[in-house]
Amino acid sequence: MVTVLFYTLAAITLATTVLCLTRNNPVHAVLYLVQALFALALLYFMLGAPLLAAWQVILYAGAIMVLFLFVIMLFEPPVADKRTSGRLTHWFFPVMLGGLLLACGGALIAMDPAAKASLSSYWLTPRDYGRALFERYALAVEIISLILLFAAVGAFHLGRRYRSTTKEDVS
Amino acid sequence: MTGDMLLALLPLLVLFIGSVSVLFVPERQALVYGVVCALLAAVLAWWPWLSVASDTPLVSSGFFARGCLTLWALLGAATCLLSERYRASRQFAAPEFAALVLFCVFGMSVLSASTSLVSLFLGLEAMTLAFYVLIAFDRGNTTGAEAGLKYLLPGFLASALLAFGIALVYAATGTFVLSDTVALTVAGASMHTIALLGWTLILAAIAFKASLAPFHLWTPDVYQGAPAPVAGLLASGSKGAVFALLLASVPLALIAPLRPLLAVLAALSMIVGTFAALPQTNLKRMLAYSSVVHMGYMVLAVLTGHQVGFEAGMFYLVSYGAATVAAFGLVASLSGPSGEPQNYAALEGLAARSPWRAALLTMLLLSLAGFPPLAGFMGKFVLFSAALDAGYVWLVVLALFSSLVSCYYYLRPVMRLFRSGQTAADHGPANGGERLVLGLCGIILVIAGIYPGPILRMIAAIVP
Amino acid sequence: MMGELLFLIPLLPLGGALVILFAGGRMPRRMLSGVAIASVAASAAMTLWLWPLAGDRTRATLFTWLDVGALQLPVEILFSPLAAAMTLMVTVVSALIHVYAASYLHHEPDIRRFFTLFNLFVFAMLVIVLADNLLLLFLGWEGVGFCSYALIGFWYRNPDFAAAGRKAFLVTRAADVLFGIALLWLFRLTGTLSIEAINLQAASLPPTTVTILALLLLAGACGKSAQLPFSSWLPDAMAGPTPVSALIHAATMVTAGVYLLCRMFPLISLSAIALAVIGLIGAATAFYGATCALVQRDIKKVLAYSTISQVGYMFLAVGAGTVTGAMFHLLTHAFFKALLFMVAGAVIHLAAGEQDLFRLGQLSKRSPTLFWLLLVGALALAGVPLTAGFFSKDAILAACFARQTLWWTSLGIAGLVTAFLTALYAIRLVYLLAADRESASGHGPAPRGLVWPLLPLGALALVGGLLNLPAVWGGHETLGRWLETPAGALPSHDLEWGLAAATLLLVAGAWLFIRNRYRVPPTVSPGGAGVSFLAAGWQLDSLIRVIITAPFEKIGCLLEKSVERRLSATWPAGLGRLCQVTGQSWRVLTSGYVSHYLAAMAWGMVLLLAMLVVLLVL
Repeated sequence: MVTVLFYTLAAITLATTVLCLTRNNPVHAVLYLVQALFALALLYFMLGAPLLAAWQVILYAGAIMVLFLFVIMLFEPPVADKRTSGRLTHWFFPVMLGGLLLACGGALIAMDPAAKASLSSYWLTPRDYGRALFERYALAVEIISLILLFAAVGAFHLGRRYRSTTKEDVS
Repeated sequence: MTGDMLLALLPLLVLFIGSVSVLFVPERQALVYGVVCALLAAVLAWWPWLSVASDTPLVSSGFFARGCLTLWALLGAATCLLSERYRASRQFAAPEFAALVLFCVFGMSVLSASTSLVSLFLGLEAMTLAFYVLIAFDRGNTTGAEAGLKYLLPGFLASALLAFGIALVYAATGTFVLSDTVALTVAGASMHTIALLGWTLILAAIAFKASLAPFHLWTPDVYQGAPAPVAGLLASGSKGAVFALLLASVPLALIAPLRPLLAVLAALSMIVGTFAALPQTNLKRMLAYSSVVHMGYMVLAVLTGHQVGFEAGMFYLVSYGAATVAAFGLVASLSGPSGEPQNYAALEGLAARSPWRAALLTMLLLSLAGFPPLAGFMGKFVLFSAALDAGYVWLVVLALFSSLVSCYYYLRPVMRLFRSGQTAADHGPANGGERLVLGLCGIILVIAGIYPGPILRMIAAIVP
Repeated sequence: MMGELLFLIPLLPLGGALVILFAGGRMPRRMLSGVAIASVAASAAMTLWLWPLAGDRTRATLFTWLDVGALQLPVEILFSPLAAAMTLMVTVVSALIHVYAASYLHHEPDIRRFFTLFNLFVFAMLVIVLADNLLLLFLGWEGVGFCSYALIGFWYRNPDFAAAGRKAFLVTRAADVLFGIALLWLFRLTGTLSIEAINLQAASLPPTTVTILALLLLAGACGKSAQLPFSSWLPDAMAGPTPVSALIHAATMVTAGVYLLCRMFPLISLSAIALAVIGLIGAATAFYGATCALVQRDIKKVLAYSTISQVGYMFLAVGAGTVTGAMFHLLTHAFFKALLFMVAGAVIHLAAGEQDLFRLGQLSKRSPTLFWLLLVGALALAGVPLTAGFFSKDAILAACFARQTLWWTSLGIAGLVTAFLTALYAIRLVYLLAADRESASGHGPAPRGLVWPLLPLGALALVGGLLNLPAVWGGHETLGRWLETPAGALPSHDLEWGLAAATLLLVAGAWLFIRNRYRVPPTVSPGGAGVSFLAAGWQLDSLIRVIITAPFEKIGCLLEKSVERRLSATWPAGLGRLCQVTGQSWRVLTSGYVSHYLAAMAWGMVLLLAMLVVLLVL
């Protein structure tokens, strides 16, 4: 059962990623990506990392993707395509993949409603996770925080409005 | 994290603290502050009672790591010194610039010192991120922004390849520790094919960072668009850090199936770089293709797979780095309000206008071409003989051929220098920092060419 | 620790050269020449002070210049007795000649260039002498070659002089190539460039190889020492200022070839053929030089041919197996030949630049001191019994005869004949210079600076024989014992007495002959064909031109027209164009579109993965 679930979820991840890459409509692409991230979260859960799965849903699917959508909406309000909106093919893939995802999630919950028995041979508790992150890989976390800081510095510099200078200087 | 570990990582900490604190330093003093921080890190790396070797996680604190950190810190200091002219005349936010350069040095140091795939990835990303911004730093220059984008997008692809490769290697070997992953792959891990696939992906990412053909196409555009000091740091430091990693901690040549791949990358880089450099009329683009060729030579050092070859490779890096930094530094020092003198035509008659800089540029190009008695010759000599010992005769023949042809494209700008041109000088005299950096690089090239013994011994002492 | 001080011996002259080069422009002339003299004199003093180190064959390494795999190039010197003796001679004679040069070039405007090169020469020569590494020795070898070139052509505004410098450089370079081949070959065979190590390993090399190597080394030595067939540059080299001729082309550089053979003697002596060839070349050159010296009219050319001839004796000695004899003659020759050259310089100075023997004269009246010094030098050159030259020359001849084979006996007889000729031209020189005739007049008495450096040399030329007085004469062969070098076959006492008597007879005969001929100052007369043949050095120059230079030029022209033009113009141009076109077409790849770059990366990835798959499947 677990094996079947694993391959189903893997197939969903691949399919949604490919669809995300090939869509012309950015909103559709982002929505497919959300599906891919959900599928990934379920995979994490099956592999014994519930905390990671939760973060995947909260951070990536929840926060970042919503941010993406907002940015897209801000810059380029989507125009509803009247010709295709009613067709079945238009709805088929999202509905099917979403349904499969829901089914998988339901199956996982049904198999272990209290999250007591471990589905995988290894079960990473949030405590273990924190240990790994802030003991073994503390340095890595620090470096990542630095990278983010300097990404912000760089973005600030590149995006900042400077006083207009003498433009003749510039080649 | 014990106190010993913190002490062992002190140079890195200095770079980190310096890169953050420089943001609060006034515009005029920021570059100098950056230089001081970089030099302080370099000195602390060798301060006797601070250089305790501790079993630090993720990054090593051994002699090799310290030596590399010193090199990158010196390069960073040189970059800051060479940028003074830009700060004065362009839209250059000096504090941000110095901070990014220091952070870049931090990333290179983490990369070359990394003992784990995690720190490898993070170091590479830190360095690359700083470069994305540094390349596009001159906001008045639209080609700079374009160049930044051209580094950014392929860089994302390379990062993705690297991350995927790391995941596969981890899946196959079950560890992030570099020495273990290599050893397990060599020993034939349970998922040998997966491990090899992972290494190939990592190799591709590294080939992008080191601009090996066919992953090199970004190089000329980026060098051309980036401010010259940044291009110098990119050409010497980023590639140097990648190769320092390959020479010290990831001996890819030990994994037998990867050797032909490396050999093909080396051969392609030499051939493509050489031919593409021939018709160039832009100094920075020519240097870009020349760096592709030189990185092809460096792969020879990786391929040797033994101590002597690695030492030769490090020596070559030093000689190449000094020449490259000085060449881009010269371009920076010759730039005026109308931009950098990138085209050969703009260099015409330089020998009459500023004889010292013309002589130095000649020397640098001759060293890159491998003329005795300069460092480039000695570097090629030790490198090629090490590769010959390792049995890569055809690659050495190819390398000799390419360095023969290279004389053509290196000497072309030199000839223009001494032609009496009518171009008016719009650059001022070299300032103190530029003189210091250029002079030091020139001295290093001469000394390493005439009397390489001490440098070779120092390298032999730190290469693990 | 003392060993490291040995490096000061060569480095002091180098320092002097650098100081003069960089600061000489701001120094007064006296100070400039003072620096030059002091640096060389300090070097001589240093040698004397460190003399005890030679007994233990002290070895000192300054630093390792190159250390790449098998190639180890330590900058290392070996202060063996042989090197010590040579060092002392070089430094002392150099110091004296420096003093002499300071007053000789009193009116020369550009003494800064002169003394820079002169000091540099001493440095390079000391590198040759002290180096224990063939490559280092080769550097010194080329260094002295360069200094010699630059000093011969010192008055480069005269095109003849400049041409003489070029000729010297080219001829010695031709020989150096052969030496270089020997050097690389030795490195390939033994894996080391240390002379000591090579000599130790020499016995294990195949005999034919040793012979060829020895002959290659001989060729190199012949070039530097102006032996046949490379001798033609030395007479022309007299174009340089006389101190240069005295130091470089008489006392030191031309003997470097002999010194090289002495250092490599353990290797060379393994090949009987090579020794025979060395002896033959030595004897032939000695005879050749003596015959040419007989008829020269230029005082310096007499001495130049005489040098060729005397260095020939040294080669003969090496061939006969007596390194001691060679070194002994090298030292005594350095004393008396430097003395003769400097006397000649003083004479020329007195006669306002006149060098023709038939226009000089009255030396005994105008400067008795110079005359006596000339006499001492000439007697030593002629080998008059009890002078330095007598003992050293007899030792060589005795070693030849003591071999008691037909080959060496005949070479010994050739040596005896040459000794007679030597006596002839040496005494002729004295007679011509002393001749009572209307001579070119110049400035008054010789300056003191020109005379007093000659006095020690005169003394050494007289009593230098004591250095290695043979047992027959009640000596202890001090030099031979000190050097610990092979002395060759031991001559019997009868042989030595016989030789001494023969020498005495020959010198007496020569004196009588010359006295008859030159007692009345001879008029200038164009000699016969024989004389002009000898005067032109047996037409060696024309011979070389006909045999080597002319065909070379012809072939060169031919090749230039047929092959060269294609190789250097047509084909490379085509190849270059091909490369250019390739480069241009590949330039399209760098289109500037990021999407193309990404595609290229993807294709690169595909390439790598395809290779990996192929490798794994195979």
